[in-house]
Amino acid sequence: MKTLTTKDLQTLSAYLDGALSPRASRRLEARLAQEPALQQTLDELAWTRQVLRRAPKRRAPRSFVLSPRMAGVRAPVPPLARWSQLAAMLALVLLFFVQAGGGLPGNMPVAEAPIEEAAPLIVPTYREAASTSAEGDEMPPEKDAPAAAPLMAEEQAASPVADETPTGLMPEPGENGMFGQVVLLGVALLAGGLSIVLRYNAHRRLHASG
Amino acid sequence: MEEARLIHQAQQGGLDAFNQLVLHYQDQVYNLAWRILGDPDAAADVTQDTFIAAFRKIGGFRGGSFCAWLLRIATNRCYDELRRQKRRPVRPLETEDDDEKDAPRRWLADSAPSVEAQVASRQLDAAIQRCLDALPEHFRLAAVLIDIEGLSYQQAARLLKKPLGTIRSRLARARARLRDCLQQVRELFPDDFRLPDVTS
Repeated sequence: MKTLTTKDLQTLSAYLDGALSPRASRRLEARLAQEPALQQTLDELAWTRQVLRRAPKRRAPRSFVLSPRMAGVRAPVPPLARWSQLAAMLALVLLFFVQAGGGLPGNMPVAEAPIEEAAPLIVPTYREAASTSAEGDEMPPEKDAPAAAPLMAEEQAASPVADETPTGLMPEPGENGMFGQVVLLGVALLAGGLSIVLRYNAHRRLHASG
Repeated sequence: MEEARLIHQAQQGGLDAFNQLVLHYQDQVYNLAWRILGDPDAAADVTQDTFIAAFRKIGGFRGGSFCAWLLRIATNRCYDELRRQKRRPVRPLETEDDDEKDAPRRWLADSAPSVEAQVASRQLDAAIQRCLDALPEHFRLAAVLIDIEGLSYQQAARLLKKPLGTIRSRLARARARLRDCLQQVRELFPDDFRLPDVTS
């Protein structure tokens, strides 16, 4: 019996699948008619192919659907969480600048314009209280206060608006600033906390549904 | 199943749409992995990895056969797993026969009505798998993809990134070896497995 070559095997296999050209098919069919061994090999290969094609199909032993965690899906961020996060960040940035700048603009007396007009008369008093030794030369010493008092009186007399602004209503230095900083910190904490809670809820809902 | 619509939705990040595709193809992907690896646990792991990778890569899917695209990912994962097994060979505690005896019946999609037919089907399944396991890796892949999964030569060539001639050659040699192996257990096969007429 003539031994089949690897090329013969390839030709037979391709013939089974209809992958030979018409000319090559005719040539092989002529050989098959003359070579029983070739025909027998072809039959065996066809049987093998049939066995494989009829091999039982295995079903998946479980479901392979992906959970959001497996798929790496992130929960969509609720719009309110974005705004809260933005507000918290703004508050923190503002707080940073306030701290770096030595206090809120609120350190300045927050009052109506006429008060600011009267301020120059009062400012020296503050500066006296907080003056350093370096400034002491330029600022009138405390003992000169009585001398300044008549001037103040004159000015107050000339400006009726100043009369309506008692000096006792003027904020203490840093009082407004401290209050503002506390407010900013509170806003940052609340907005940041709200953002975290909203994101966490969205995340939990996504994974609960998955 | 509107596959194109589901693919489009999955490409937009729709996990529900993608999971419908998973349900549709999971048997085929698992069957391919099981036939190549010969181990149900490894096949399940590869199947899961395949779908995770497919979801992450689906944005790059440019049309064509989605099934072939999935099978390509699965085949690559099987290659990785085979390489891993070569580095760290694992010997199962139970024998193949035990494994087959304990295998759940739901794994056999074509469950036969009679007990005899079921037994025959399981014996056939076990014999085929043993013969496939005995093949070199490249031959096994060609036989599984073309003769078991029903891919064309062209699809298998694209999937394995090999020339058509290489695929033909590997398939022919795989069939010849499988013929020798399966003929040794021919008595296990049901009566309707007769030598067929030569047709294309």
